[in-house]
This record gives sequence, structure tokens and C-alpha cells, in this order.
Amino acid sequence: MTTPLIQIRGLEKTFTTNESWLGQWRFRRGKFSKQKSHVHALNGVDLTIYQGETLCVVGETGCGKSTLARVIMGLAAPSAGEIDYLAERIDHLNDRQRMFFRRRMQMVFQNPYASLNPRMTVYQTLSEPISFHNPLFTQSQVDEKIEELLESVGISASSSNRYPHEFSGGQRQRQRISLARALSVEPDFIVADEPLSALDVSVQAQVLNLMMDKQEERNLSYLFITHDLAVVEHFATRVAVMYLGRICELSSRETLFGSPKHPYTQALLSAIPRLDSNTAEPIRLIGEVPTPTEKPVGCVFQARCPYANQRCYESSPAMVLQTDGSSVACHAIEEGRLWK
Amino acid sequence: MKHLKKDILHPISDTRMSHIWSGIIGDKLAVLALIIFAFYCLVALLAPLLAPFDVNDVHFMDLLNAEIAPSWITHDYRFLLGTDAQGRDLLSVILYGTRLSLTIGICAVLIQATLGICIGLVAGYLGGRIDNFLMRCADIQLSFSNMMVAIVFLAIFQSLFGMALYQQFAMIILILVIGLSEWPLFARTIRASVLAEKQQEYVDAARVMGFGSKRIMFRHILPNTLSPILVIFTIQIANAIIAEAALSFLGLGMPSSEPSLGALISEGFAYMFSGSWWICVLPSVTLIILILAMNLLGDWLRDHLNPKVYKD
Amino acid sequence: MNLLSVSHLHVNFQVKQHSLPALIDVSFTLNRGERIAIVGESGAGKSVLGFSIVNLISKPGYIKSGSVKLDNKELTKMNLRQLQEVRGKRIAMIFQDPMMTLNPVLTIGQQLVETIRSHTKINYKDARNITIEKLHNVQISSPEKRFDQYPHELSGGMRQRVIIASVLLLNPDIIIADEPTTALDVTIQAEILQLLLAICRDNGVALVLISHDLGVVSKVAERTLVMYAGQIVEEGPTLEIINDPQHPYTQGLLNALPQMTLPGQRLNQIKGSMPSLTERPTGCAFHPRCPYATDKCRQESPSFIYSGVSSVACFMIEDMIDETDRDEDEQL
Repeated sequence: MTTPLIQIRGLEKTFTTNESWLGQWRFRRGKFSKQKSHVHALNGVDLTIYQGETLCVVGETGCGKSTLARVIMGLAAPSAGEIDYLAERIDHLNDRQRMFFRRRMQMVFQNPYASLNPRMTVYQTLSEPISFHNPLFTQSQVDEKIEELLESVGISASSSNRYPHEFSGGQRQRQRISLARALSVEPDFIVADEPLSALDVSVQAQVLNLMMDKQEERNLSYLFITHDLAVVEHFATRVAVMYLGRICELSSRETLFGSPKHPYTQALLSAIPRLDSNTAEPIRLIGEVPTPTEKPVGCVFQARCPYANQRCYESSPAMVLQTDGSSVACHAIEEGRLWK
Repeated sequence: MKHLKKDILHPISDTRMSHIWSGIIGDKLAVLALIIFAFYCLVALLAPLLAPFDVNDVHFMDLLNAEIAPSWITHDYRFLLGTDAQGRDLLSVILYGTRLSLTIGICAVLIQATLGICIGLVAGYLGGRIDNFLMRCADIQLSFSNMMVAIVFLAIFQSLFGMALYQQFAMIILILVIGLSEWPLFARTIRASVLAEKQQEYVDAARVMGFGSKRIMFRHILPNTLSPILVIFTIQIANAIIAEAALSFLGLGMPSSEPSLGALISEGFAYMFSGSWWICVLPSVTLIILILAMNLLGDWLRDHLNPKVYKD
Repeated sequence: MNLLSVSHLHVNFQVKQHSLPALIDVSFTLNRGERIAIVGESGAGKSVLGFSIVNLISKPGYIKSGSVKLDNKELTKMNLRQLQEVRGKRIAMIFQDPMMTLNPVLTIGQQLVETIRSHTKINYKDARNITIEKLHNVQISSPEKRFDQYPHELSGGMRQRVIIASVLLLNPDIIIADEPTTALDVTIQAEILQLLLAICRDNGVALVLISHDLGVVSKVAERTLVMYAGQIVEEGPTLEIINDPQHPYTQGLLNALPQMTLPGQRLNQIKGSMPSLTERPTGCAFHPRCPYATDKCRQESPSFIYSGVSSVACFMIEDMIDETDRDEDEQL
């Protein structure tokens, strides 16, 4: 539990939006100038994921949580910062060098319809990674492994020759197959990018249960990316709240839901539509999430924060450890302004 | 509504081949086109067996029999469709001509498709500079008229190496010229669908597994882009056959000793108004029916595989 | 007098030679100013129901039988002209994706003004004033500026507000909102829901909220209809349904929510999944997934019965009521 598995330090990712080399040239005031527009998706993220835990990353659309997942998995190269896997730096590796870590880290995707190749049977989908990463396996060993995998995610091995669309009850079986594929290389860390958001309530419960079972069985660590706070409340060990490419609050689940500190976390929690009717009115935030085309100066949340003052516009707050073990990045809390 | 359609359509749709097959059966015009195409292929394959005369025989060309009208006019049942200006049995020549035309068409399109698929996949998947470079190459290639390139190339070849050598390699040269000139069509279509498929999460999943680019391109993305390829493939065969016929008509195609349909039409054209219309008309009809069937098939495939694309 | 009454509505989908039932014997009523919710998972037919109300069901689907009456006027038999009069003016629809209704090449103002002027004779200036007032009503900041902006310049939440404003322009009696907040973030969702609620209350508009999210429903609707496989399985006051669900499916749906279980425990899942249209089971459609299913459930389909809390289509509830009746009889 206390061994850090993944350590992320100062991670930044900037996307360039103007792709074509001709489009970058602008004619302004009689001069041609080269200009690129950027989107700053991650602006310095520090995170540690411990072995066997479930770290949930929560945030709204455009806060960079999916980018975080993609950068950790090496699907996109970071612009700055470091990622360590068990004290080995992995962010600058090329595809070949990364191969070992591919087996240790896997990913489950959001859309159950798009994440499986429609032209491959379940058998093909699973046998490819297995024989790719275990070139010495014989055919029968591969078959055995597939059978075992399918059974462990609750799909009968007899249906392995079917295509994904031939399964009745689509989404649920597909997400199981996705999980089976991720597990096929026996990873110890799984990044799950909104794996439940496309699913129905009753199916969500099935998939979530399955993920929890697998965690117990194989001592997996999850980085669970979601916008659904109800799932977080149930499933997380620790929670990181993200806003505009930065983490603004990081604490254990009990602390976060018991006493949220950051003004953004408070607003987010108050907005969950709960079943009990006696919850307070949601805290209204001013405006909406801006697109970060400029690198933010000061606190990322200043534009919507009801407590923002001059200091928040000028300098960006650092994560400060609180007495109850959570860390919060907020000037107002540091200064004690929030409790007045 | 989105969910609903998916739920309705998915359990019923099967693999691509059976999907196409069940669709064809339901459409009479498509069945007809398919039967015609199959008939042509069969005839082309079995031409040596079906033809009443051996075209390689020395006696095949007999000027004494020149310009005999089809049997339903002359009641001369030796030559079912009459003979041409050199006294060759028209039926045999048309059979062999069809065989040649189809071979040239299919081989040329195979070259187009191989080139186009590889270039399109690489451009679409790797993107960036490579994509820019390859697509500009395609643009340049497309800005030349294919016919013009073929004519210039064939003319240069003929004058450089002489007629004799040209006649020897005419077929291969034609296949190469037609094949190399139209790859951008495939490349662009493939690139467009690769760009769409690349966004899909299964490609990310394959990358996370650590598979190499080549494996992802050919094993994961390519099978998902085959539907548009199939459509262009059929229509391009028709186009290639037409291109070959046009070149032959201009005297740049197959030599008259080994005539394709186009060469036959070209030869017959001289006799068109001197009374021997059949020498030109019969091969033309053969060609037109073949092209029509191919286009019908291609059109139907496009409608069936992708109902969203409207007909232009 | 009900504002809208749907009775014994059957909608089928024609796929090749098969006619597959998507809605089976759906009946419900809506009073003036009432807010109801239709809850179900994907494939339950809730969107189809929403579309069928305004007779907007498109090709493979068709209304097989049944009636939809608005103020006692039959909607299923109306011609296109009459229907267009009803759509928009009496019944308005809000969709999950605002871009479905907004034209990307026209400014917000042009579209809204166009909407008013196509239904009422009014000059441009008045129409513009009304539009700006309505934009103001849905809490859009600086409506004069937004008036000249294109849809893509607005954020998702803002677009949904514009849609709500456009719906309000013609003062409809009913708003059908099909998953209006599913594509939005939680904080925005809460605002939109509050707005929708306030608007219905203030203008006396009836609301049909179609959603999969019981949390959302509990915030907005007074009455809830739970749908499963094209049928309504439970109907009753929202609070009663959430606090004391009767139908096994509703129970399962509520129990499957993460907040119903202690953190870290396994969730209560319903086994299996919703049958697709092609593989509808016989009898009660829920029986393959129902923990209480009996032989009777496999053969006959249950009819609606009032359980004291809500109306339920379930044999188990029927039997329970029968038993209590018998007990009471014996005591007497």
C-alpha cells in the first residue's frame, strides 16, 4: 500500500492546434510572422499512485483528465515533466524500450463500441496481445490462457469466436472483453478512462464490481478517471480533483466527501443530484470552464472562484498539506479567508 | 434514437461478406449485374475452350473470309458473328479480346490498389510531414490528365524502343501505365477512412499493447477501411478497361495481332460506314455491357455499404 | 381534464420482414403544469416514447395502434400541417445535443427570431425584443451580445440555455426534454435543471423529462414512469418510487446506484442486461433478470395494479395484494 508505483512530477502537455505548416503563417502589419495557437491541457501535475490503491481523478470536461491518462500511457508525449514507474523514468522511452512497461501498465477505454476492433473476434482480440508479449507460448497455452481470462471476466469461453457486435447485451459484454484484454498481459496498473460513463446504471454496477474483484484478486492499482462523483465516493481510495490542467485537491475519499476544502471541490460536490431530497442547493459557479489557450497565470480557478483576491490572480498556489492529511492548492485556505 | 438503431441493426448484421451477399440477393438489378460480370469472367477464363477457332493457328487469318456478315444475315454458320477485315472469326477474337481487356483492367487496378492502400495508410496513420508530402504528390499526379500521361509515356516508349519491342511487352506496359497513373484515388479514400478510424479507441488500445505501427496499420485499421476500397475497386476496373480501350483506339494500346476490345473497335471503326458495321459494333456492345455491369455493381456496393454517402 | 393522454400506444419497428415492438401498450396522462419523468436504461424505449408523442417517429418505426390526445384532439391522425402547428407551439422538444436543433451557419438571433416569425405575425424589432427578453430569462449574460453569435461560439451549457429560450418563445404547454443534461458537466447540469424547474413552475408548463439518471429525476419530477423493454413497469409519485420501489426492476435499478452500498463493498447488480428488440422474452419481459420470477412470469405478462404506493405491472405485487385482501377478509 505504501510503495509508490507511479510518480508524476511537474507534468505538462501543450497541444498545438494549427497543424498545417502553411496555416501557421500570418500576414500582419506588412510582415509575415509564424504563429501557433496552443491549448495547455496539463499545467504541472504532481501525483503519486501507490500500489494496490484506486486513485480517482475527477473533473469536468476539458480539465485535462483524459490527457493525463494518455500521457501516462505514452499515447501522447509530455511537453515537460517526469513519469516514473517504480523509480524508473519512462516518459522519454521509445516504443521498443517501453515494451516492458506496456505489460505492466494497461488501459480500459470509455466507449464500449469503439474500443474493440469490430473486425476481430474475441479470440483474435485476446490472442494477439498474449502471443505478442509471450512469443514462446504454444498455441494450446494461448488457448488455455484465453479461456481462463474469459471465465474470469464472466464470459463463457464458447463464445470466443464471436465478433463484438454478435454479443447480446452489447455494452456490458464489450466492457468485460475490454477488461479481459487489458488483463491479458497481466499488468499491475490499469488506467481506466471513464469506463462507466457510456454504460447504463445496472451495467455500471456489474462492471464496477468486476473491476473491484480483479483488484482484490491481482492486487491491481487503478487510476480511475471519471466525472461521476457517485462512483468515486464508492470506489476510490484517494481522490484528485482536477481543474484546467492542475490538481487542486488531493485527499482520501473519506476526507474529501466529509470535508471538501477547495472552493471548486465544494461546488462540484454540491452539484451531484442525490436521491435524498434534503440536500442543500448547489453552489453556483460564475461562468464556465474556459479553454486554456494561454498558459494560466495565478490560480487556475480564479475566474470562477467566489473567494478570489489579487493574490489569486498573480501567483499560483502550491499544494499544501492540511492537518487531516489532504493537500489543497488554494490561497484562500492558506490565509484562512475561507472560514470567515 | 441513436441507441435504438444500433440495437436493431447489430444483432442482424453479420460479417461483411455475408452482409453483402444477403444484400445482393435482395436486389434484382444487383443480381443481374453480378451474373453478367461472372459470365464475363467465366468467358474470359475459358476463352481458349469456348472459341470456335484457335487464334494462334496460322490459318486463323484468311483474307478470303474477310468481312463476312454475322450468321443471322448470311446464314453462314461457320462464323457465328461474322469475320473482320482480316478474315478472323469475330466471336473468337471478341472472346480473346474480353480476356485481354479484363486481365489488363484487373491487374492495373491491383497495382493501383496496392500502391494507393500503402500510401494512404502511411499518410493517414503517421500524419504530419509525411502525410503532407504524400498527399501533395497525389495532388500533382491528379493534376495531370491520366490519359495524357499514358499517351506521352506510350508514345515515347514506342519511338525509343521501336514497335517490335513494344508489341512484345504491350500488355505489361499498359498495365503499368494505367496502374501507376490512378493510385491517388485509392490513397485519398484510404487516408480519409484511416483518419476516421485512427480516432477510434481500439487503435489506442492496440498502441497501449505495444504493437508496432505496421501491425496496427495492416491488421487493425486496414480491415476496417475495406468497404470503400471494395467500391472503388469495382468502379476502377471499369475505368481501367475504358482507359485501355481508349488507348488502343488511339493506336497506343494492344497491337492488332493481339487485339483487346478497344483495339477491335478501333480497327472496325474504319469499316463502320463501308457496310461492315458488325466489326465495330459487336465488340463495342460487348465492352459497353461489361462496363455497365461493373458500374452498376460498384454503385450498388456504395449504396449498400455506406447508406450515408449520397449518389453524385 | 388531462392535458395530454397517451393510451394503449404500440410502436413497432420494421426491420426487413420483422415487425419488432418498441413500445407495448403504453398509457399515461399528463396534467397541466405537471412535471413527470420517464426513466429507463438505453433501449427501454423512452426516447421512442418521447418522439411518438409528437408523432415524430421516423422510418423503420411506426405507430401501430393506440392514441395520443392533446386537449382531446387526436395527434396520431393529424396531417403534417396540423402537427407542425402542435409541435413547437403546444409541445416543444429539447434534445441531449443542442447542435441537433441549432443551425451552425445562422446566428442565435436569426434562428430565434425566425422561430417566432414563422408562427406569429410580428415585425423584426418586436421579435428581437422578445428574443432578448427570453435569453435574459434563461440567465444568459449579455443577451444582446449572444444574439449575434454563432452556436459554435457558445459552450455546451450556454447552447442548452439557448434551446430552452427558443422553446419558451412560443409559450408551449408541454416541454419534452430528452436527456437534456446528459452531455453536460455536473455543475452545469445542476444549473440547467434548476432553470428548467423554475421555468416550468413560473409559466405553468408541463414537463416530460426523459432521463436515465434517477438522481436528476428526483430533483425535477413530481411523478415518475419507469420503463423496461418498451413497457411501463411502474408509475407513481417520484419520492414514493425512490423511497419505496415496488417493481423488482425499479428496486434493482435503485440498489445498483453506488450510493446505496457502503463504500468499498460490492454493488448490488442486476444480472444480465436489457433484451434487444429482437430477443424479447415471453411473459413478463423482466423475468430472465428477476430474482423473484416464477413460472407464471415466464408465460403471462402482468397487468397494472395499484399497490398502495404506485402502480406496478408485476405478479409478485399482485399476489401480495391478493394475500392481504384475503387476510383482511378472514379477519372480518
